[in-house]
Amino acid sequence: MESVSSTDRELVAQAQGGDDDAFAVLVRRHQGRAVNVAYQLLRNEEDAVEVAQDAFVRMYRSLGGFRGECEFTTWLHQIVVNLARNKRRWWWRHGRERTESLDVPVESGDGEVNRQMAAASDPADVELGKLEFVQLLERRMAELPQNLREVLMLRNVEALRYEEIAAVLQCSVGTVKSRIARARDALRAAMKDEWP
Amino acid sequence: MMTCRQIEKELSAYIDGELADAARAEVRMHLDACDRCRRHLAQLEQLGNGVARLPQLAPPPGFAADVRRKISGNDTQRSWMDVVFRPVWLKVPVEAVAVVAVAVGVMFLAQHQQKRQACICYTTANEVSAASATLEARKDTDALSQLSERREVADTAPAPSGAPEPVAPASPAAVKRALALKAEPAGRPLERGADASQMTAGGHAGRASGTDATATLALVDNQQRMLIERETVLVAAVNPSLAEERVRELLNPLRGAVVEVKKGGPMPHQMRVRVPSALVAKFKEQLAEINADPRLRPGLVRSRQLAAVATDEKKMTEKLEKPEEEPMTELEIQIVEPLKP
Repeated sequence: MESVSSTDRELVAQAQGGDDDAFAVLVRRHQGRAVNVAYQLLRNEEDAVEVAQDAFVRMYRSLGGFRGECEFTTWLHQIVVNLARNKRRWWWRHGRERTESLDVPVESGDGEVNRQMAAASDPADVELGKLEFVQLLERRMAELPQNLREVLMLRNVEALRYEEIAAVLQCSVGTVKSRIARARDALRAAMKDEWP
Repeated sequence: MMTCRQIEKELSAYIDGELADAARAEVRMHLDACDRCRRHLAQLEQLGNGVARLPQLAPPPGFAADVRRKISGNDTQRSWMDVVFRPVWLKVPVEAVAVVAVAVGVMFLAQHQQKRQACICYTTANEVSAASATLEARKDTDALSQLSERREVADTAPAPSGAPEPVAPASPAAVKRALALKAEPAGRPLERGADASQMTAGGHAGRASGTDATATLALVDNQQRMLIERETVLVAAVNPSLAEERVRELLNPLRGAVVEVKKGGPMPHQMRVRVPSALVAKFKEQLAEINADPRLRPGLVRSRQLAAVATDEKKMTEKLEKPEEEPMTELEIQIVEPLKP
């Protein structure tokens, strides 16, 4: 019987044996991570939720082929990143680049979506103008190439180590190190007028 | 001792704790002594903190239930494209089948083309004999001697022996197939003539009757290679109807006939005409002049170069209804919108 205290590997094994409830526990456990990763890459709530759901559907249908060679979360990150790339390609083919303003209230078909502005919860940050800094940073992030945005998001939002990022993106650790440095240099150059 | 430039390259990994101990110690030692690199480090740390504070999104209520619904296939909002292409286990086979289907189609067409060429040779041979029989019936001695010379030079293959068989002229369909030979090199008619002699016996027996004139056309085409040519000419005009009228005006003195006109739809406005081959060059020059007609091309509309495209043997023969006494060239004229400047 699955339980919330079971490890991901145990739940995956149970799901591979046909236990759908075990997979449901995995979904509930990692849905926040999946949605947020997709959102960081797409900056669009509706598409981010769709990508995250599709990622879990794809994982469910591929459970038989998952041999536990990497962590469940690494697998999840891989699929979400790939689906987000596909979504961006779909946008590009259909001639639209989905963006949104931070000021627009967030609604979806399932009701209001809770977009959280971490910096806004700290009055001291607001006083110091850090909220504006973060908002500007978000816009500059959106201008980064996709591969640089991916590594920076996995490092600074998901707090993955270089080795884990390399596993998600299926590239070398050296490549991850180089991309992160380039992404930060690009952001630093783009924000040169914003430094106190 | 590392320079500032070298240190800057390592700062990103330094703040992420991804440097080896020795490199980390060296960077730290440099930072203790370098204000510029310390400012650089502070900015990178501020960037990292800022990225970590970017707005985040929490899953909406019912997220897991939606996943379960999609898994069970009850997601009625999925498009047919999603149904067909999204599941990997279905996407790969569909693409594989498509590749195999295209490959099989190409192979089939290649084989079909080879068989068609062979069929054309056989039919044409029969046509020559059929034309011979027709000419004998018409007492056309000049044409008969011409045909006979061709056969003698061609090969030692036996000519049709004995008295001529009852006249069985070529059918219109056979003539059309014979005309499809127009793409053959003009220097090799005799080889085909030899084949004709070998394959003639009984070859045209039982065919539907045609006309003498039709058979004569087949003979002329095969012996003298006065083959009907066909090409497509593009005429750029903003007013297709007016352009068509101008083409008809050009055809009148040339004794040309408008065989077919297609208008509207996604295809260009098309006219298919036949003009004497000797006058084709002049006719095309006049077509080019249509492009310069100010009524058809006002203002800044840029000229579009006339273009000839590959001939289409089958379509060319389909529209022939009666023979011509002189070689004709069939032109398909497509009246298209001019390119914008």
